[in-house]
Amino acid sequence: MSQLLTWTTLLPAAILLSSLVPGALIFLLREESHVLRGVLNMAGAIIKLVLVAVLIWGVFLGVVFESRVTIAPGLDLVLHADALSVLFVTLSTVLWLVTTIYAIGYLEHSPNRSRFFGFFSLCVSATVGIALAGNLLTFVIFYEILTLATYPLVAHRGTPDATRGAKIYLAYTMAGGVALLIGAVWLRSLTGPVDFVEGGVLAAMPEALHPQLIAIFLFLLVGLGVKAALFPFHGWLPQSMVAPAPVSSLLHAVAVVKAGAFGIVRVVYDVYGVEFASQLGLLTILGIMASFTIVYGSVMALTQDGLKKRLAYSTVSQVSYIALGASILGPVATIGGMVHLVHQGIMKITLFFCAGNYAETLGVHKVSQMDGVGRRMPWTTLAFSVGALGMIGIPPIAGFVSKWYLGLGAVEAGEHWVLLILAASTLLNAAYFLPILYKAWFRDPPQEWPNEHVFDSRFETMGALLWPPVITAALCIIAGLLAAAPFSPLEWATLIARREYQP
Amino acid sequence: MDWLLLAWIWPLLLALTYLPVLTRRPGQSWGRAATGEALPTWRASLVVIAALPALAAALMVPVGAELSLPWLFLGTQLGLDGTSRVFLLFTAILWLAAGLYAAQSIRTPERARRFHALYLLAMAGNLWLILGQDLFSFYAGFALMGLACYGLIIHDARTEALRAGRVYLVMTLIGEVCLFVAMLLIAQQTGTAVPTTADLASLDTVAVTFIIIGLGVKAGLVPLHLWLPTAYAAAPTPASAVLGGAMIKVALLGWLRFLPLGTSALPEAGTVIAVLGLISLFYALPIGLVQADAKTLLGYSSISKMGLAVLLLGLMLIEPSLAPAGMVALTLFAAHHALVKGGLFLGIGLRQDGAQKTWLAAGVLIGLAVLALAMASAPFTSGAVTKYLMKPVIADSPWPWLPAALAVAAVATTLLMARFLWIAVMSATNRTPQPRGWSMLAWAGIVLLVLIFPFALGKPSSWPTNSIPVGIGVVLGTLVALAAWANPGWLKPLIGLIPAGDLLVLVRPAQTLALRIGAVLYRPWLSVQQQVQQRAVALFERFFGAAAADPERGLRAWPVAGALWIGILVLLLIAMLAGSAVPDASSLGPTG
Repeated sequence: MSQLLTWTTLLPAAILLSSLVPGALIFLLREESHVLRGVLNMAGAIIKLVLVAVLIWGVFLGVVFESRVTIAPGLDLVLHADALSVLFVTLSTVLWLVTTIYAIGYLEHSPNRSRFFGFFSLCVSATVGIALAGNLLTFVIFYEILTLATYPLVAHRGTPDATRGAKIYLAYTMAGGVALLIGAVWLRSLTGPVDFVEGGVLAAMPEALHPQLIAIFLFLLVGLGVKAALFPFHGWLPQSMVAPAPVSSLLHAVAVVKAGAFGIVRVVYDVYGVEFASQLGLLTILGIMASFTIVYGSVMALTQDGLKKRLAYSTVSQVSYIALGASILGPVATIGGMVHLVHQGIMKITLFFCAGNYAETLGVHKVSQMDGVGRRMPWTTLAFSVGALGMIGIPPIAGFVSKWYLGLGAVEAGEHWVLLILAASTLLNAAYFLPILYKAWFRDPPQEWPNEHVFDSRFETMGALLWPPVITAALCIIAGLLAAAPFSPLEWATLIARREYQP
Repeated sequence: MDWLLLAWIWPLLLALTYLPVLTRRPGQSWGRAATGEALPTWRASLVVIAALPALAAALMVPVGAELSLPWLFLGTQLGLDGTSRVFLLFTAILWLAAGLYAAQSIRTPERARRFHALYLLAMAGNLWLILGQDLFSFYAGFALMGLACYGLIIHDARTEALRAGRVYLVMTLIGEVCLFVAMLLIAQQTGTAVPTTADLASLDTVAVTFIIIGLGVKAGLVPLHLWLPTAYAAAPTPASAVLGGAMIKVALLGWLRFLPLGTSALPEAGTVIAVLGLISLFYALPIGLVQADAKTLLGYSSISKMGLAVLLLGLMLIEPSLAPAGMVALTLFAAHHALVKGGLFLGIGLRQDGAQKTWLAAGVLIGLAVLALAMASAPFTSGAVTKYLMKPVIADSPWPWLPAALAVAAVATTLLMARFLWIAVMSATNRTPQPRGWSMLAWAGIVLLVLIFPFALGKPSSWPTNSIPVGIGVVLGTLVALAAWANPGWLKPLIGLIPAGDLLVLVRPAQTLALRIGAVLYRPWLSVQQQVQQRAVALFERFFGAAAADPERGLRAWPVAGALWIGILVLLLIAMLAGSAVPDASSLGPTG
């Protein structure tokens, strides 16, 4: 028994350390030792993947994993793995592995790689910390570490643009961090340590405290909404497009934006409890914000010519699906929101990888330059098409599954207006993605690409750049086509919803 | 492998062979030369063999067969009931015949690969939604088919084709969104993804409305028909044939499958639907008559015919007891219309570019005349049989004037077909004729099927149906034709009076208006947003920006940053181990 206890206590910490330790070591490496750096990176990513696989199996069987360190009496750092954490941990681990491969290819021959990969690993460690955080304090700490670890990545190129984008990023997220901290401290002063418990912990609070709880929710929502890019706190996201492609991919699919969305889900389900939040009217606020952001992001995406900017506004819109799912009372909508956490991640990372490939290989940065790009880079464009169609919600790609559950959940809850939002979002998504696909596949390529880079490769671009989007695109199709199969994201989200709503 | 699965997986698998090459050959550069060769025969024939398992399934799989694949997609339930079997049969025949035509006619080096790949995808979608009994299969197949078809329509890449494609795509997406909502409402109101007839009784008017709109786009129900005539005209012959023959029937299949026919009476909704059907039925006929292009005309004929089907659906919703007879009539009607319309499209294609010898050309014209008569529901044709089956539904409708109205429509349809034959005869074969042996054979097969249709499926009493209206139509048509022959300028001013796509002309001004309003609203919003942003950035720079510039650069150098990080980690660790006093969280102010 004691051995079992040790094992279950160590696993969450080990998962965290499996990227933290390589990250710290990479800082110490010299710039030229790229073999060692690659080995460290890949070893960390693979070890983490194995550990997470063990974790998934354990949580599925109902084993409780918890690492608890007491900093001070009443202040515990808790790493706790429940079904929801596993969903996010798995997403970030798998995509980290893919992104690492991509980043190694992408940054070949560019300066400051040790710094980059060091912070990159820290960024992932922080994300995993957020996912595994077992109480609000731990969550806030990792949330702030994530803010700081991402800043050097956004500013990586060191150009005036990059510095500006990074500063805007920092201003937004630090301000959000303050709001989050105020909310967290206030809540703690009311209730004592806030552990995340499936089903929520605040439902039993006396009625006199309800106004305070509403105010706290708003603080938390602002703090989390900044990272989740909820309108009007989304301004930093399109600006931080100056970051290198692997960073953008990570930012949009896994780390920062997802951390915000994940936080919202945590607060709604495991702090307030979804039924209690609904009683307080908090879900309505969240639902309206999310809906507005969904439509607003899509409309803004329509007006962008820069490919990455268009994708960024698309993220603004799509991540709010998660918040929307959290804002509708009922297990079906919960499944829709949770599963979109994963689905949006794999689809958006595919799109950003592809955007990076176009930029690196052909110098194509704008939608208007994408004529005939499908003929020059067929596999990249195929992956892009899968991601884009998935975003629109074309079955059987993953995005449809999220949309179906969100819609069904809304109808079950009697909130038919959500269908209008979903329909509008679908059409807008089609309006800004389909013209790209048309240009890429049906137009003739130009005589010369803006800045073509010939790699020493038999593939259409460097192998390390080609495989990651192809793999993630395949994941998008598999997640949709085998949605009802065991251990699919959908099945896992169903498990979460069952545990959240159990009496 | 099970035929039910193989039938629609097979075209998908064949489509996989069109995946681009992963590695270039030595010495070849990406994106250039690779597309220089015409499609080899073995590759072109893939579109033909793709339809064979579906045909085999339609002929061999017994009605009532089921295959449950709970792990696939959101739980897939394949199956074949009586209706789906008929649909599967004619759909497979059409895709096969059109496939033969495509294999022979679409071989150009630059675009043939794309056409064939998308043709296979569209075929897979169409078969998937017929064989899948669950909502998800239907929707997935529908979406796959609808999107892939866009590529078929714009194959020629002419300006009109691109425009037609754009209209098609916009309308299709609107249809898909409405269908999505319809599917959600069905799933929620029946509580299952594989609704039975009894389950459907619980559908309300809202769900029925969305089912009608969502599929109405595909069926060209006025006013959702804007895309249909131009898309039919723009698409290459084999694509028009499957569009007009097979794909449009998907709407009918969906309606037969998901509307609460025979289980619940919805008088108000039924009336609205029946009236919509009547409008489509009559609206399309005069507009079709003045078209200059044969394929556009056929498009209007389809709109009119689907209007008739929708009229019947409406009547069945008003009076559920009509449903059993009506559903049989509509199923056979779908088969008849699919074969005839597909045949007409292939035939007009052969007329325009396929007939090398005079006797072949004459044969094509005779075949077209046979099909046109069937389309006009002349006696002793498949059309007459389906009209006969529809009679009881029409006769029991609450509207006593309906039979008379339909007789008028039958006269007009006959005139429309006469006009079609006129165009077919007059259209010069301006291109050099191509060898089309296999296509000709496939087409002759369809004509033969249409010929034996009434004798195989109809009672003798049904054969003389419609003699009088069609007779009047033929006489009128002959008179007009003779007059036009004698005086060619006589009807000129009428032709092209209403452009293909009729109401589409109104869309452009509406679009311009919407864009202008959007711009007016958007500009102030943008300026406000920029101002706010600039203020915020300025504020931020004042506090942190300027002074921090140099130290910040210093901080960013990696040794400093890295050391700082390790330092912070170490400090944290020490703090944790020492358990030093941080008395209470409330002392952690916002400054922390």
